[in-house]
Parts: sequence; structure tokens; C-alpha cells
Amino acid sequence: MVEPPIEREAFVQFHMRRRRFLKWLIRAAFALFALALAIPALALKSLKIASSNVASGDQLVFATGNKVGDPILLADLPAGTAVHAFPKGKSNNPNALIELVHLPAKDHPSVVAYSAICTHLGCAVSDTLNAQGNIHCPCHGSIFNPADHAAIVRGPAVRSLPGLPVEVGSDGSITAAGAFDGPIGPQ
Amino acid sequence: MANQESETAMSDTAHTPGDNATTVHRPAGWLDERVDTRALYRKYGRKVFPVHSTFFFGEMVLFTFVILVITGTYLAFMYVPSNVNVTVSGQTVPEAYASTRLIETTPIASLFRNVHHWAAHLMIASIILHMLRIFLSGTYRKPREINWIIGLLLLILTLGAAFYGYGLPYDAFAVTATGIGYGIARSIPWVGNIVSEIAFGGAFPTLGSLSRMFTLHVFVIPLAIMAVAGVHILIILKQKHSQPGYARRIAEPGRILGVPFWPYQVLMGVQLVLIIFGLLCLLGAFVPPHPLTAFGPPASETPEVKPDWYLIWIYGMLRILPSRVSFSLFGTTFAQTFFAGLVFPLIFFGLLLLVPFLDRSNRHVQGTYQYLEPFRQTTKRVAIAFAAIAFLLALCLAAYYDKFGLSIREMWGIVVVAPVGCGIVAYLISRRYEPDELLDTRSPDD
Repeated sequence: MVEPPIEREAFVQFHMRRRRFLKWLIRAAFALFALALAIPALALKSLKIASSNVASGDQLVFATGNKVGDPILLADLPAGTAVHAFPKGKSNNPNALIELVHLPAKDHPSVVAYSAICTHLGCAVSDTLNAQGNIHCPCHGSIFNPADHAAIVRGPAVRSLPGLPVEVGSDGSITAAGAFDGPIGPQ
Repeated sequence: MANQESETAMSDTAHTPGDNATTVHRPAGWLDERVDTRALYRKYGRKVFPVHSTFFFGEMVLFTFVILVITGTYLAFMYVPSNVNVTVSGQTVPEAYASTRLIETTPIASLFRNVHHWAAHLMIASIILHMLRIFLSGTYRKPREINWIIGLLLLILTLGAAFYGYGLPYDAFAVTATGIGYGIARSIPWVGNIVSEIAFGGAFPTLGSLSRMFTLHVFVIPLAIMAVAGVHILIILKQKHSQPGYARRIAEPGRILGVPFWPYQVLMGVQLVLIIFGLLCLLGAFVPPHPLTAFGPPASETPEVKPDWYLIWIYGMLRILPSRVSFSLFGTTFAQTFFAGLVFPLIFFGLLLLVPFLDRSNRHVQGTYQYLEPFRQTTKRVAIAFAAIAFLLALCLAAYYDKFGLSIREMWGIVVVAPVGCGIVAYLISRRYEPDELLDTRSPDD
């Protein structure tokens, strides 16, 4: 028995449509699957721990050495040297590390403080000033001038270290008079 | 194994008729009646391996990987991936540090740790030597382009595993090095925060960091290496080995000259494993990596750290790339760290990836390249290899430029001049020794 040609044509058309539909269905299934994978991948991202930042009135204490946690007095810090400090009670936040510098006598103000977290890749800058009296980072060699708002003397850092206003009390203790004036570490 | 004559099997699996009378006369044993090991032998045991000293680099990669898995598994029994502080004999340190100290002070575990350390170095060195051999002999060309790319992927995966391995002991060195990696990942425009938090389990160093790094180092990357290396080897089985040039004169077209897998290649492989493991044990015993106490537990201080030799070229670029390359666009920053730490290595690996497609002798090829290009007739490849090596060595020097009293400008001079100079000198010298008659490295039968 011979089929009428018009019906055969419709049959082929139907199959072509079904094939197209199935192809799209498979693509959509793949796309949805990829999307479904992206959600658990993004959920992997964070575990945030609350940590407190430096605030006005925080007393600065030694971050290293055998006097860790003791208040830093101006007398502990000869002119032309630097020390690593934490705001008292906030040493659990590594990003709160402070580079406290006593500038040589001719400079004014004589005590300045900056974030000790290098803006290049987040290393702690050295607490020993280099031969020129500048702050330097041991990781990739960035150099900052403490007498000039931690301006960059040599890269690769792009941003100067955020500054921290400090006050020297009558007893020689040093306290923060505000917060860091910029974001900490690499951005 | 010196007697080449008797061990030269002039056949290959694909050319061996199923049950050849010359192959096996062994009667079926207990195991054969159940799983027919003779069929296995007929199919794979007679796979032919060309004999050439540089053909062992790839096997060395495989064997060092196996040693890494075995020693690593042992270390994982003792290691605790946690940076929560614990007090051990009066000292408060992160648990990972404490458990690594325990590994370090337990004799056999300490030896395994040192072997694990040196095996990682040897694995990366072997990959680089393997790659260099493939490059110089031109065997990345048709039909082996896919395996060149897969091999490059294996190198990148191995470097990733090595980087995560740095961080696990969690001493001040490890934390600083990992922090730098975290900073580089964070510098990716737009998605840096998400990528770095996924790669380091949050803002490094945080509570989840070590379990994330540990899982990546111990499960994810090694499994990926196994899968990708499996494809690498399957493709070799399918395509068969390339052969040293002399095979073209001796062997019939389409046949492979070499020794069969069983027993000769297996014997040589076992020898190689034993030599490598022995060597690694000696290195581990007498040249240990830095002890944990050298840098101590993580502190607010940053020690002066430099990465190992296989990453120091990126470190050199991080140091000398000027900060003025960074710019802001559409609310995001394209930082110096992004260009030096990610874009630059990606360009370098991208160029390596394109090698088979940049090689003009690999365009519109009639037939396939099946023989190693003799060293003396590949002047351009020798020049390029020397230039690339000089470039990487110059960047290693850049990691120490201020120690040598060089300025950044002088250092850039060296980084630019050394590869060009070395390339030209290597080209001129190799041109002098170029043979008059060049070997056609394509298969004679197509």
C-alpha cells in the first residue's frame, strides 16, 4: 500500500520539529545543571569572623617582643625607630597591626602611625626602618616614607599605607585619635 | 638491558594479530581460567616502548606522583587541618602547626615529610624536562597537539597542588606565602573577592582556610591530576610513541622500534622507581626542608619569604613590574598584582599552549610527525628554548635585584636583553653545526 505523499511530508515535518525540540531540551537541561552547580560553588565562599578595628581612644600596646601587650611609652621608642603595635585588646585582628614611627627630631609631628599591612599584597611591613629611615616591606620591596604620609618611595605598591592619627599623653602613652584613613591591605 | 638486539621487539599492539603463534605458549592457569590474563598480555603487555634516555622524564613524573600520594597519605593520618590555637607543652600554636611539629619530631613521619617535599620538587622538575624534550624534538606537532595541551594543564595543576602544599604546615613562612597567593587571587577585577574566598575558604587567614586548602591539596587537585594524566596516557596508547630518528632507518614503516611493556619496560620502570625513591630518601634524610621552628608559628611579623624555584619567576615579576601599570575602569581596579601575578603567567602559559599552532612546520601537514627532530637540525627551536630559559632565569634574578645592587631599570634591561642575546647566540651556534642533510621526521608511510 502506498502512502499519500502529503501525509509523509507531514510526518517528516513532525519528526524534524520533535528533534529540534529535544535538542533545545538537552541544551536547557545542561544550562540548568551548570547553574545548579554554580550555587553550591558560590556557597563555598565565606566564613566571616567578627573582628574589631582600631577606634579613637584605643591605647597602643606592643605587638611583638618580650613586652607584648604592654602599653608603649614614648620613652620606649627612640627617635628614628619604629615598632609594631596593636590597639589594646584587639590583637586578634591581624589587620589592626600598626606601624608606629618616632620620626627624627627635626620632623613634626614626631610620632606617626600607619597601617602595618602592606597595600601591595598584605605582608606586614618591617618594624625596622631602613638606612634612609623609610618603612620597607620584606615581601616585594615596596618602600614608604613615614615623614610624608607613608608616600610611596618605590613600588610595586600603588597606594600609600593608611594613616592613623595618634596622640601622645602626658604620661608618654600613645592612643589612637581616630580610625585608619583608608582601606587596609591590598584592594 | 644493554643488549638491544635481543630485546628489540619489532611489533606493536595494533599490528599483532589477536592470538599470534609467536606470542604465548603458556597454558591457562588458575587465574587465566577466571580472568584470562593472557588476553590482557596480548592487548597491553606487548605495547612497545622506544628506548631513549629522555623518554624516562614522563615516567619520572608518574612515579614521583605515586610517591607523593603514598607519603602524603601517611602524612594525612597525622596532620590536622585547623588553625585553632592549642596549647602543646606550654606553647600556644595553631593546631596545624602543632600537628606538623609532631610529624617533624616522629622519625618515620619526618622522613616521609621530607621525601614528600623533595618529590614535589622532582615532579615539577621532571614535568619541565619532559616538556623541554617534547618541545626541542618537535613532537608536539600533528598528531600530538592535544597531548601537549593536556600536559600543560598537568603542569598547572601540579603547580597549584605545590602552592597549596606550602600553606599546610602553617608556620609564619606558610602563612605569609599563602597570604600573598590570596592577595593575588583577590586582585582579579570584579570577581576577585568571590574567587579568593572560594580558593582560601574565606578572607585568609580565617577559620575555614585550612580545611579548604587541605581538601584542594589532598583530594581535588590530585584527583584532577589522575583523571587528566589518565587521558594523557590513553592518548599515548592510541597514538603510540614518537620514536628516535634512527628508528626510521631500522624499523619498517608503521612499526615501533623498542622493548615490550612486559617484562622489559616494567623492569626498567621498577629500577627507576627504586632509584628515585632511594634518591629522595637520601635527600630527605640529609637535606631536610626548613624546620618549622626556623620561622615559628604565625605572628604579626612577616618574615622575608621567597617562593620555591618553580614559582620565583612570577615573584620576580611581582617585584619589578612598575606600579603605574595599574588603572581603574568601570568601578574596579586592574592592579599591578593582577598583571604580574596572574596575567603575566597566563600569557606565558598561553604562548606555550599555542606552540603547536604557531609552529609553521605544523600547518597543512601531509601525514604525521612520528620521529624526534634531531637536536642539531632544529636551530630555531634551540634558539627559542634558550631565550625562554634565559627569560625565566632573568626573572629569578629579579627576585633578588636589590641584593645585587641593581636598580629596577637595570633589572628590566637584563630581563629584555638576556633572552634576546641568548636566543641569537644559541641560533648562531646551532646554525654552525646544522647537518647538510635533514632527517624527514614525518612518517614514511603517509
